[in-house]
Amino acid sequence: MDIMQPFSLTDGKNKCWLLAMVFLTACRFTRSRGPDPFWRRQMYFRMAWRYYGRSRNCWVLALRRVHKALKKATLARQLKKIQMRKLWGQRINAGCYEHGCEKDIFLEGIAQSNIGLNKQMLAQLAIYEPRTFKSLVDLAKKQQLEAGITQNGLVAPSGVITRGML
Amino acid sequence: MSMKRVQQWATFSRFWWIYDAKFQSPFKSAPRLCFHLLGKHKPIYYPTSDVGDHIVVINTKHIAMKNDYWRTFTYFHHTGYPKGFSKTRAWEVHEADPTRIMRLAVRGWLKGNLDRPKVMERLHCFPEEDVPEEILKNVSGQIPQVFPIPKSLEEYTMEERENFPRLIEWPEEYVQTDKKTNRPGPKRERRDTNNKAMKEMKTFCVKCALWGVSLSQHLGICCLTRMMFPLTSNWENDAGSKGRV
Repeated sequence: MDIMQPFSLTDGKNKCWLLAMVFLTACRFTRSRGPDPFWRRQMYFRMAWRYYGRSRNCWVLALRRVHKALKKATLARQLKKIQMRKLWGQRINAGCYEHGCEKDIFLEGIAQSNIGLNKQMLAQLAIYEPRTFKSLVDLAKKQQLEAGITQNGLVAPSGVITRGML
Repeated sequence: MSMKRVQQWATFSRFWWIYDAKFQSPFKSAPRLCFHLLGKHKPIYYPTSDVGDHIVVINTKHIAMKNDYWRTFTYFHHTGYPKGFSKTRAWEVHEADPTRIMRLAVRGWLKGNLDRPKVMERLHCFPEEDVPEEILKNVSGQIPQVFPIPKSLEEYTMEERENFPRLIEWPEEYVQTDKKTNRPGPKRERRDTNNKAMKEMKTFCVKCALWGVSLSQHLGICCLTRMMFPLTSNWENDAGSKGRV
């Protein structure tokens, strides 16, 4: 757009007219101060509305806090994935511990049996569907025992029929 | 809506476990106890939620330590003031309070956050097997021990000892060598025979049964001079001259 176009901003009764600045080169664009200073600050204050003390209202403090928060939010996107995977692992470990099996044995048996449940779903089953989880553990145990894995305390479960038994 | 739509039988209740610490290492038992204290054995585990269980640890007086850890393992403390440093050996701590070593070991495995005192309150240590009825009636499970309890030599009968399978049998004239000195027999105290005071020291020869012989006189006569013992009077003199007992 190479012509100056006005656009309207309705604010209650008053009707304001603002001029949108249009630049033809990038050089001019970088020299400009961006949006209107008032609205630029509002953009930051909107993110700082729940901070404590002067960080909420004072522009210099709010700017720093918001920049720091945005940095942390960027890092947290990766951290959340790591922490959730760790939590699912701990919950699966706890579920296996209840049935006398190790987590690694269980996950290996599940994978070898072509059961495509991820860790998140297995952790949810351990909490909300304990019987289903137990049957999965039994299946994994049986698979691992048939594969020749002998581990201390790994007992053959009853009621699991495999192709090798038929 | 029916109240039995979701049934949670004791999912969020606190269980009580018992752990027999007899012949168990406190440092190896501590992670296992923390596992239950923090609730990591429950699928509903979450780091910030308080879902841990109670543990009753009995026989903490009869815990075991490897090598000579009772003598060498040390607990340090500093009051913060000058000369406020102190260190206590494990056996001294154990004599003062038989449950302290177990509690310190578990405390060391927990994270140093504000939850730690609350978690430690759920650990009930008792030096012996006598536990109050109020506590014992809550117990509904046992935590397996980290080590099997070894059978001492005294518990074996003579028949079992003789019939114990052996790879080899030692010859009767065999003398076991000391690994440090590479010499037969246990390590002996070395005596400096060239020392003048040592030569004049009055001793007792085992072979000749002679009292009050000086080492220099007796050296040429008897081959067993190394086994001569200093007399008590000499010990007293030495002690007096050095100013210690």
